[in-house]
Amino acid sequence: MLPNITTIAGIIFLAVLIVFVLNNTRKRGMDAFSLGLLITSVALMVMIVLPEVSKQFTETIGFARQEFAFLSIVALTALFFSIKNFFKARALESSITVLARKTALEKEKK
Amino acid sequence: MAKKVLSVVIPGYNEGERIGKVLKKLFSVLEKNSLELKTFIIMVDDGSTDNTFKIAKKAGAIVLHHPINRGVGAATVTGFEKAKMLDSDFVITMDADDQHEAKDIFAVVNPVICGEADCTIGSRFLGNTKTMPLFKKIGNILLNIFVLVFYGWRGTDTMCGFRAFNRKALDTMNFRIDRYGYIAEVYREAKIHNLVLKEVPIETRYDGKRGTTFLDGVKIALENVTRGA
Repeated sequence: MLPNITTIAGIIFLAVLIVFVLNNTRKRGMDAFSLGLLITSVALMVMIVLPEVSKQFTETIGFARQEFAFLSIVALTALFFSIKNFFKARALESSITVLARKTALEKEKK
Repeated sequence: MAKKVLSVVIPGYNEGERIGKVLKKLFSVLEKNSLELKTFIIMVDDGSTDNTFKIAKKAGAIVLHHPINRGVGAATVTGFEKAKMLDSDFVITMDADDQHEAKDIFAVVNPVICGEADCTIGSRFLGNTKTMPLFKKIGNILLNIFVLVFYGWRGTDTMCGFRAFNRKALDTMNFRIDRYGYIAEVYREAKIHNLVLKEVPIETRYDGKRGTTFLDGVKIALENVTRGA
């Protein structure tokens, strides 16, 4: 049986998403968030294209429903995203402070 | 023999109302010093939007200006950098809000000059605490417990900003927190680098607008837990 138009649109969207994620992961050296995003995209694709296989797999690894497994991956990815941004923001704050300090010391010299 | 250099670092944000008075008192006390020290007063204006910079400059201090507000920790470290540039042997930090008595400077710095300690911390609890509001006393006790548990320092007033450092302490301590949490970092750094700390009694003035609040205390603890460990 051929998949309907929504499924095809979904597959195309996911394919674009995976290309985008792959590009980013390569640039970022495969950090936890990018990896989570990649796994989320693949899991979603498998759920759409091969629902029976994904159902069987999630049951084997101990989830009652495949949606629960998917939501767990999404939650983990969101967690990695938050942690990553927290450290990014902190690093940015530190650079701003260093810049402010440098400016203050150089201005005083003049 | 070249005179030893003492720098007083005062970080301040929008303290235009008080900074003139603080610096005037400080200059007057330092002029009368009998320690034969060469002294500098470094005021770090932490991105103030009022006339703090102008007033401090007019008072004759070395004034550094952060273009934007970065927090008291960052401003203090900027002051330390300048003090190092001036080849300071000893550095004192004090608040810009006229909470500390300028006359206590020598009491705070003496143990450091004599080599009894690498860093001294003023303690409002060893001096007259009658003017300290009750909620501040409770907040201080909680923060003292925090410092004892995390860094093993049994102090009576761990959050006091009136401190003195020798050059060894200044060179080895690495302050990472930009905001008020830096105040507790000294205990971590002293523990890591085996520096000797000492508390000295000081007097403090309160008018309800000065000093740290209970919320500041919570922030200090959180910043140290997330950043300092």
